[in-house]
Amino acid sequence: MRVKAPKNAIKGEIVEIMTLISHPMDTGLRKDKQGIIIPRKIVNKFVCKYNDMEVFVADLHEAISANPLIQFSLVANDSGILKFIWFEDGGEVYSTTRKLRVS
Amino acid sequence: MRMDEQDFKVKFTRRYIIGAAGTIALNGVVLFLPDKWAGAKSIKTSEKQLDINAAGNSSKIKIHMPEYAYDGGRVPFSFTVESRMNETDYVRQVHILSEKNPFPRIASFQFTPNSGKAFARTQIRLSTSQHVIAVAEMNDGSSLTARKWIEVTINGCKED
Repeated sequence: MRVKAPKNAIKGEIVEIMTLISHPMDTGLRKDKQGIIIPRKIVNKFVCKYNDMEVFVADLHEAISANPLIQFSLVANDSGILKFIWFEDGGEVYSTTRKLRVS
Repeated sequence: MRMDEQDFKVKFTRRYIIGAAGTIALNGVVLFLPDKWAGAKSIKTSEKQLDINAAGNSSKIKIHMPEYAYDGGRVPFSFTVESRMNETDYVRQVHILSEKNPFPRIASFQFTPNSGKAFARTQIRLSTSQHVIAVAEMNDGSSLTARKWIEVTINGCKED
């Protein structure tokens, strides 16, 4: 997973954050070389927490491309930790954090 | 003269009968076949029809997407909803729907006043040329819709 987020921001500034996770996003419609259907396995939810408060939530479905890229924005209010969490089908959870310093 | 009249009558009736039979047959096809074919797909299609028939075209939602995509497996997509994004007036949710994909829902995004602007960018899969619809739900419960047409060459949902 990769996150592109600014390290410093001015208070009240709108910062843009870009996230990317490597994932095949199998829709459950494709077949492998033997003709067997590959079961559905997608990242179904993405959450961004800013100091333990949810600021952005995305529910993803089958129509999101492989290696889902999500770009969004948020208002920099306080210095703190940004936590990015991806939920996969089957209960796997991936997360990463970034520090944001607000002056 | 008599013969001609008779001929005309015969022709008229023949045409009339053939025409009537044709219309009945066509109506039969149109009226009855969808009922017979409505099976497992009926829930999916009704969901699609509901969303698309209700879709207006609000100028407050801007959908950014190419007009023509060669590969439907990776289409850059982004949207912005005009809103002040403060505690009293903000966009709560934006749903992205497709008209002809096997699964009509693409994604839904939830925003808060801390989002700053109602904006998101991602990459989507599209099966064929179709409308992509964005439905924005505001904090007071009202909703806005917008749609954009896109031409797609290669099916992005079943790539091998």
